[in-house]
Amino acid sequence: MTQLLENFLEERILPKVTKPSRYAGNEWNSIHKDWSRTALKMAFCFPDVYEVGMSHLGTRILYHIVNARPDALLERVFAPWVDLEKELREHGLPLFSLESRRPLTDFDLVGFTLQYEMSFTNILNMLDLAKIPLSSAERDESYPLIAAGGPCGFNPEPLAPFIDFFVIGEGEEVLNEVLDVIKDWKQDKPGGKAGLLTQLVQVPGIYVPAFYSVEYDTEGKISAVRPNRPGVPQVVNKRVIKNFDEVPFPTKPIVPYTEIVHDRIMLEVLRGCTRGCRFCQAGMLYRPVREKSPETLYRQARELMENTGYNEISLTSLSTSDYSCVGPVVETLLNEFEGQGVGLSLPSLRIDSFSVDLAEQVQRVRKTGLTFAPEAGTQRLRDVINKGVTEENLVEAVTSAFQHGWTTIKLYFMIGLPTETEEDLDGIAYLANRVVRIADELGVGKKGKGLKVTVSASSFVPKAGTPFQWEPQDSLDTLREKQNYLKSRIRNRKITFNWHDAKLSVIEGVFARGDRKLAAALERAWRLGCKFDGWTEHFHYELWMQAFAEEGIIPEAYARRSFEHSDILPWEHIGSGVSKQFLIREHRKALEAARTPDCRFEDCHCCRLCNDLGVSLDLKGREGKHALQDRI
Amino acid sequence: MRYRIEFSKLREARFVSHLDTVKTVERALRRGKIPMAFSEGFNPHPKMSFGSALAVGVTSDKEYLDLELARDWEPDRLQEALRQSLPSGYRVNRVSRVSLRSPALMSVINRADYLVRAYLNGPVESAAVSELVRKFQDLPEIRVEKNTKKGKKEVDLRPGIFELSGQLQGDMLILRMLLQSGSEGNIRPEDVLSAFNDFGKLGLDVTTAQIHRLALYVFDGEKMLSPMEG
Repeated sequence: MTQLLENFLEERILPKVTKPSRYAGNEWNSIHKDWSRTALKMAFCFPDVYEVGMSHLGTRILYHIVNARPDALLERVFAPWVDLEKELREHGLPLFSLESRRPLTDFDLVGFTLQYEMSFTNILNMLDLAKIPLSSAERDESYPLIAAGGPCGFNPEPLAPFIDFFVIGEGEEVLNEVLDVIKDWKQDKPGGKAGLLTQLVQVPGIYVPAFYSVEYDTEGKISAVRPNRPGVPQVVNKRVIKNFDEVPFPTKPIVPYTEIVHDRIMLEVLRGCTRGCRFCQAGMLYRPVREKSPETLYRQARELMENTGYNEISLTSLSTSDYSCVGPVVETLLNEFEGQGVGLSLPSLRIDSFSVDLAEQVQRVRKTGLTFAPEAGTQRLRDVINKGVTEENLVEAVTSAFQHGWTTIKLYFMIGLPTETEEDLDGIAYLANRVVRIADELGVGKKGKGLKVTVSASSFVPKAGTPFQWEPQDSLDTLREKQNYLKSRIRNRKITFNWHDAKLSVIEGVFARGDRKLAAALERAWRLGCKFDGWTEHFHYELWMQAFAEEGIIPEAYARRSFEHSDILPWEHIGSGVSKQFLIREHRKALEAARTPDCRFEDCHCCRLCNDLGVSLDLKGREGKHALQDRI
Repeated sequence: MRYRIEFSKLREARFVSHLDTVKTVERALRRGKIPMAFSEGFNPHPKMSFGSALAVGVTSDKEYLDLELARDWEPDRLQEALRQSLPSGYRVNRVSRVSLRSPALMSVINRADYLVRAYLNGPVESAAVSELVRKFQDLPEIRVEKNTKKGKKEVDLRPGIFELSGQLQGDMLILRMLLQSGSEGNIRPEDVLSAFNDFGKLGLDVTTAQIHRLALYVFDGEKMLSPMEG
């Protein structure tokens, strides 16, 4: 941005908007490279506000990876809140990066992270604010290349016409390879944009949607997905980091001026989870489990403390109590930092007394509340979803929590899971009431702070790449009936019952298993004014319905669709490494309520990932499997 | 040991709220390995207290902070450590030792000097501005409605305006104002600007006014002292 525009923004616009520190930039540890002396420029776009985006560890990792290269820079871009958007549009100003305040069109590569289907409209809005044509076909090499990656990249099809290429899987290594290709091409741009994409598609993990043709049969089912030119792989398999212990991890992360959602050090202790919950996309996509060694964690924790000044370290992962060295690591970190007023937190706990003991260790002084996720109300349904948790586990865990002095317990459940019946909903109410009874028996809340049990029910959304990808989602009416039924069953003033907006879950369900035909409806919805759909005050169900109707899309045909195992799925050509045969087996076992144990503790179940992608389970605990087995 | 720190809050730091500034300083102290003294209790926090909260968007040359350390550091060393660990937009100007018995900054600071710049909508005569400033100050009372937690409340700004002057600079009106500040009553410069704008029918763009705090003072009935001398 020119100095004049910059002054205009600083003096005439930012003072008028809410939370202007979102756009201030220049935070501690932010990186400002010499623009004219850096060959490659990448903008990293998070399609939500600053406080959400800065809480995303992946964004911070890639910021570090690219900026560590002498020949490249990466600058951050967040979705401007509606008040800033209005100002930018009124004054004809483009969306800008935080670091150099340059428009996105000044960059070689613009990457979006796909964390949530309901942020897709924000991607279109950000492109439009950046004055970049939405459609990939309308952009030649004078525009930056538009890329996207992240969990929703495992079904990228609804975004296919807008994105030049998707990065499938973990980004740490592949992003460097992509930048190398772009750097070479940039010399004299052989073949223009098509030439660059032809080279990029040679990089494993890169999916160029324009290089694939989708054919439909007379019923509208997909009959084939084929590469439409030579040299393009039939299936794009995800990238996965083999040596997770040694992969670069930022220990000089940005410290925001303003409070963000996760306002603490995020130290990733392990990646992946093989508990095998059948609804869980992350559990399938981030396999196999790879742990960092305690020594690496101690070193990174020390550096993070020195470089940030935070007073809390969160040991993050999909399930930190599963870390094979969690006990000694927690103890060592507490001993080292206790004197400095620094605390630890464990964001996700398994339901057992071991986890409660861990929580007790880290929350010695301030007991902020514990959250458990039984997910389903009966043992039968918990077996269907392969949630390896029993009522006994929950009783044991909450008893231990109450005995240790906790008075606030949150229980997470899902409604609308495959095979669910009234009995399963009754089971949710039963478990919630049982937790209250245990508290009463132990005299919790008699003196001082009162007992608070919160039950949250989210609605099941079948996701690509999981054993439930073939299953239909409940209809809006059914989800609402179930919510109302639960409300009537949970009538206890000690229990707070929360539920998610079923309308939002239904739209999420459409896109989670959507195909390319949905792109038109997405664009239409955005043109009608949809954005920030994940924010209750900005979600407009009726506009979405109008958009679907105008584009001839029947949303139920997507969300309520039951796929056959023999059907070609819209994301069939994107490989998570977990084989289709394994997912089919898991789906069948689910319907028989048969459990599949964790391959960390028992035999391999041949999901084929380790074989096909040349990786392996990497546990750092000295006793390995057996020590863990004792705990389950 | 207690130290009094004078610092500026400029550029990008002006968008940082008071609460976030407290956190920012706390983190800087940790990064600088400055031996903070902590309060007792379940949730210990560093012993520090600020002189006056600055509104979001306002820049300042002179803000004050009292900080207790667990060990004795030379003020120069503390200043250097803070200089190296505070983020862009914050700058430490002076550090000195103060007695543990000295009264809280918040209770002694009672004057604030501001420079307010606002865009004009159309041409205005320089003489007219001087005339307006004089007439505005001659008003016996300046009643404005303020939104409080308990609803709307009417307050009189006039007793809290000690000095006011105005001049033109290009397409901007510049007002300098010395206002009551602190626990015994706080007059906000944006309220004075709005009242002046309404009074003079100037059509100023109040929402984009640039407010800069030049100084905070302790007025003891005779002299205006810097909190560093107090």
